[in-house]
Amino acid sequence: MSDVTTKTILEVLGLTVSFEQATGSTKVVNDVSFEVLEGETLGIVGESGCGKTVTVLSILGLLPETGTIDSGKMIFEGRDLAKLSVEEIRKVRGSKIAMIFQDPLSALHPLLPISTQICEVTMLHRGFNRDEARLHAVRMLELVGIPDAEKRIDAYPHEFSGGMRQRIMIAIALSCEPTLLLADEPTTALDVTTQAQILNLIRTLNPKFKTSTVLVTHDLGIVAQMTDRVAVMYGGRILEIAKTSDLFRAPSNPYTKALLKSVPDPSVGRIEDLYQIPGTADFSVVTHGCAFAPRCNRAEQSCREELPELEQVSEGHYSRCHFAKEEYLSNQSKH
Amino acid sequence: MSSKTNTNGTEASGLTPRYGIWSRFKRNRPAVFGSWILAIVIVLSAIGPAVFGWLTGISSDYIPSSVENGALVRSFPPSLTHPMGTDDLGRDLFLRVFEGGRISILVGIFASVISLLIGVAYGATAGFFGGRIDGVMMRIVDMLFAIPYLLIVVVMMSLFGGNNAPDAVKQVTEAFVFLTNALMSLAGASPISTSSGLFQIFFLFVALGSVSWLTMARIVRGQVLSLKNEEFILAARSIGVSTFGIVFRHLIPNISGPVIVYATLTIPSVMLAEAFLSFLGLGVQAPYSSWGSLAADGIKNIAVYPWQLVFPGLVMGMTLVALNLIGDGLRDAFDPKSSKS
Amino acid sequence: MNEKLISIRDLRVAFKEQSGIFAHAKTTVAVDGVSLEILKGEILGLVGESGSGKSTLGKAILSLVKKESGEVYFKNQEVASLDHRGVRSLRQATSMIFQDPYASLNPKMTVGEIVAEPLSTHKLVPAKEIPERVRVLLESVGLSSASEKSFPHQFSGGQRQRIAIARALASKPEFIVADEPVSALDVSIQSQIIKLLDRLRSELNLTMLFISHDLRVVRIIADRIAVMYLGQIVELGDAQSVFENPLMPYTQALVSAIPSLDPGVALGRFESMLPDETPSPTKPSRGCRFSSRCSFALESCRTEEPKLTEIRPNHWAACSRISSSNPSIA
Repeated sequence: MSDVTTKTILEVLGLTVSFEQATGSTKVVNDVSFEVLEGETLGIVGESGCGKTVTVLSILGLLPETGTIDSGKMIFEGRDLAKLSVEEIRKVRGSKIAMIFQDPLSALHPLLPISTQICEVTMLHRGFNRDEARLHAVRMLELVGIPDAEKRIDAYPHEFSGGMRQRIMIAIALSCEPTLLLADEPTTALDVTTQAQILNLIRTLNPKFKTSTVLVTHDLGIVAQMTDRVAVMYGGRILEIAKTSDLFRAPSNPYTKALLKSVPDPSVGRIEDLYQIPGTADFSVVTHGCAFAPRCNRAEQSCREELPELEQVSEGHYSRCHFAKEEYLSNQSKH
Repeated sequence: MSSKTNTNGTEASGLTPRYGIWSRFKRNRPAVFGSWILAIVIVLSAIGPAVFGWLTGISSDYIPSSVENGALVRSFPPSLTHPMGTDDLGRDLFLRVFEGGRISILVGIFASVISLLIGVAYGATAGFFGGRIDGVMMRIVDMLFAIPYLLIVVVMMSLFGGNNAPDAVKQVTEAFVFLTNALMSLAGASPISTSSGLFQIFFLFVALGSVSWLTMARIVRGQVLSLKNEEFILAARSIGVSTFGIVFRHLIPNISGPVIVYATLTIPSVMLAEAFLSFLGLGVQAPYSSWGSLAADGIKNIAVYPWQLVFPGLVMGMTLVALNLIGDGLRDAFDPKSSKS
Repeated sequence: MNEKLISIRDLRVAFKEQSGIFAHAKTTVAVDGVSLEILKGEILGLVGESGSGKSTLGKAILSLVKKESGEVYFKNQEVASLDHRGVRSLRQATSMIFQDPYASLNPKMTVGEIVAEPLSTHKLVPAKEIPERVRVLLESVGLSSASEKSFPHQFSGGQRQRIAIARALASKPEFIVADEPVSALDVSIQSQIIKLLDRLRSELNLTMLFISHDLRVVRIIADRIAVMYLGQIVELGDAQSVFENPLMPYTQALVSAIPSLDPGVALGRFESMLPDETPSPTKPSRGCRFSSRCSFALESCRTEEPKLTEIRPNHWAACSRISSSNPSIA
């Protein structure tokens, strides 16, 4: 893991995003605030529909047409990304902030050779000429571990395996040496052994390029292995945000605790120890209280009526729960 | 365990919920507008002539005439008695346009029903069995596609039109006349008789129907091919459901969307083909009218009596636009992802 | 417990991919000489990465794909030689649960119709008792009986998987192939379904083949684990033994590739990372399939195909570099 300095790269403040649906508009991201520090990897973890992907799409202005940013600021290099014009945000995309997606096959143009797709970015954003761009592209491909890069650069996406395609996506994303890399479930579509390779690659490359990363994932194992800090999202809100080591050592939100206990623990290997969170995540129901309250084992009447604030439990460790302090302290007593 | 159904969960939005089709169609303004236009045209074609005759006493062979500058004039411009004017034989154009509308609309509906029956059966067979059967069946369709279909219809019409119609067509026509007369006598109207013109119309139905199913067969085959590999089909096989059950319970209900849409879009294209043939004189012939034959008559007098082309053309154009709007609206309603947005 | 419900002998399944009438057909060998026994009442976990043929093996056991050679015996009857009635009773005695609960339910049928289909297909209960049976089934998987009138799209992923499980249980099967039943689900829902399957297994005395790429899940639910690589079973043994003391270098890599939940310990856990990715099954190498990626491979590994041998009691592996006298490769 990289050195964490205090310089803030991106500051998201009170981001609220809603989606137009047949039944009306729904808030998918609700008052989300976080910051990304220089060189760090911030994980955003949560289950499907919790708003984690929408959050990162908002940063680059890539929301689908049905989604709108209702309020909030996203300060990047002194400018609010939400206020940039289409032209201005396009200049930021790919150069200062790059993104990699879950499915590298659909993110790559199927009819263009890899070379064109990598060179395009650097010619556009860094003003390289064709030869410079190509030279740089080969270097990037070698860096991400494409064997025979010199030759394979003119191959088409379908000629590569899934893992290789994700490496190419990473090469494209890093070729303008972005300040911020947004990775949306970058290894979900891959096999475990390939996933390990890609995760390792991201981990070794980031310090090299001094890139900060926002890593969106549903896999708590990946969070534990890859991130410096982590935000846990549920129902469009951040329920807990902390240093990764603090979060796993002293989870201070009932949802985080339940999530951790729901992952099968192979070292114990007993099904009785597996925790199940009752019910399903139904985010279509608007509540005034805590979104997790209907499934929470310690919810009280106040949880259903009043939305808890994000409360600090220790330095840099915040939890959105009426019982945040108690939850935090209960970890202490265990050890 | 929560049993609450998640009616608008984001997870379900990728699929096409059945309940949403009608509401999505209703929100599509052009499609609703088209539906109203079509409804008006259908009502006018169905009962317009009868109501109009009952109100004004004018029947379709009512021929007024006057002498202007020593010449016999029968073509009158639109007026209160003749809202669309009269044709060059003095027959009321309003009556002829909507009597012709019956034939035009019936040709369209008939051909799309044929394309439903043949196209769905043919395409589903090819797609479901796949392999060599599919190869041969679809090559046949490809070959038929290679010939311009209007050419086939033109040849069929000139060989078998009118009194040359095959016996089967004549028998169907006679049966139709018999039934109609039975109904007419109940209503107290004058009977109609079989004629070469009627044979011609019935054969036109057959000719257009026989070429309209090709695209439908392709669409259905494509749908079945992709559905066949869906997991719920495999699930049905793992349960032990028979081939019949798989085709009728699992495959057909799931292709109904595109099939209905395409059947709707077939109607205007066949109506246009009918108009084209009648315009060439190969389709509906006097004394029967259709929009095509009225346009053909009107174009002869375009310089002098423009209304004789304008009104049939206008009604036909509006109907075609309406049907296309409805078809597009249905397509978007069945498959929200296909819409441009 | 030791009674065999299913035994598979030297099973081979190949797919010919015809891209056009005149094109050369490509052959993919999905299952390549698998021999395996599934004991009554056990959950056998089958792990492997994409393209390993684990899903095809599951379908071949239920005779849902055509085998090329070999035999599959279900209760001592070879499934491919069954007549029409035999196939019907096989379909009744077995069922399958699929990965994607969005694709495996017919979107045009109500939940009630979906769950009733096996009942009416096999005429297991009189027609007028079907609604009652459906209600009982839905309740047994934790859905309210009111849900029978709804359509699948009205449910969340986890609830749909419950519907699929209710359908799979409807014909009172003895054996279920569960093909990645929790892979498409969120963590919190995943644990619900795992617990449900485990409960149903003991209540109904089911035998199950549990296919998954997630070793964590398999470890926790299965009694024994079989590891597949490019169409072959390379390791087989008690779940704990396979997970804690994997013999094959491939299994070791699979285990170590699991991202641990402990941020402190786990750094550098990926060190036994495999080079490259699984080669295409259309052109398998001779000899040990894994030799092209194995860091311990000798020249002989590339020519001689290793056999599955019992290295430790109840723990088998197919690797020519290990034996019962020398179970450690490094």
